[in-house]
Amino acid sequence: MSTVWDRRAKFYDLFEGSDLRRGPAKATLFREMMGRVLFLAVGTGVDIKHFPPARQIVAIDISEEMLRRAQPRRESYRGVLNFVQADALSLCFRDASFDTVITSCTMCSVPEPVRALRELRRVLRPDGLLLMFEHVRSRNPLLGLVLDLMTVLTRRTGTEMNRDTVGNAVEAGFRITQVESVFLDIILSMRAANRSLTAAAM
Amino acid sequence: MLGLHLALTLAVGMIVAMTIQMVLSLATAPVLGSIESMVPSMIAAMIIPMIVCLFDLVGITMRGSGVGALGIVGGAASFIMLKLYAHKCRKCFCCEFPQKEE
Repeated sequence: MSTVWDRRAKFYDLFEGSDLRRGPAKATLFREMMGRVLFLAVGTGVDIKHFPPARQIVAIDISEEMLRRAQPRRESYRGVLNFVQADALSLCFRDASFDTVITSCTMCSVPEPVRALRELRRVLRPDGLLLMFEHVRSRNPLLGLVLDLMTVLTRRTGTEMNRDTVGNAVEAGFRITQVESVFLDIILSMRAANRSLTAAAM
Repeated sequence: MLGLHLALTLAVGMIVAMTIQMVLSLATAPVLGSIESMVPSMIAAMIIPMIVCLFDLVGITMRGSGVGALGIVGGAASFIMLKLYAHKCRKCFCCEFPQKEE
């Protein structure tokens, strides 16, 4: 898995670095990060410029090459930002060790998204916040079909365009509190709470 | 010709159109974003060959300039439809998730 992303690292900035539509939406979402933050799949660090300053962030990625390319951006961040090479499916962190967990275009690429989200829930505090900037399958049949067809090609490079990430988060035990459209109903900005908080309140 | 090999013509037309659109959308991806440029392109590439074949089915055979004009009209129509759908999506999510939790 990591080798696919090592290869994609060369072209990552070119195809995923667009800020025209995504930039403002990411900046708004990331502004909500608080306490100890886990950032999933930092890639080449294209999102770092949207991080609010003076935060304490641990950013992980499965690819060593991605992390290597992200180093200059890490050094430019005005806060604490540490990189760890890790797999989202088996995180090397203690239970309930983060206040905020953030994913950015990650759940399309993790082989078992529900398992990964359960792992995120494990490391997130019971009153913690999950922020997701993700692309998902459209609920519109025509757009959904387009994304299904695109997935036939993109699956080879490790990305699935037609995942139900909102549904997966709910299945993993999160309670979705807000969803905003960034591009149609395909690129979404989402906030979710650890469901155990709801259970504890009841 | 289209009438005789409708399914094949449609499939080939869609594949060619989608390939061209994919290359064009990859070229614009650094500015617009990969998904944002590819999804609308794919819709136009899927629907316009279908319309050409549909016209042929009812006896209207389109020539190059006609197909070009249809491409322009179809592209503009796709753009307007996506704008309307984007508005609907924003409204739907606002209704489904009305309150922002602090």
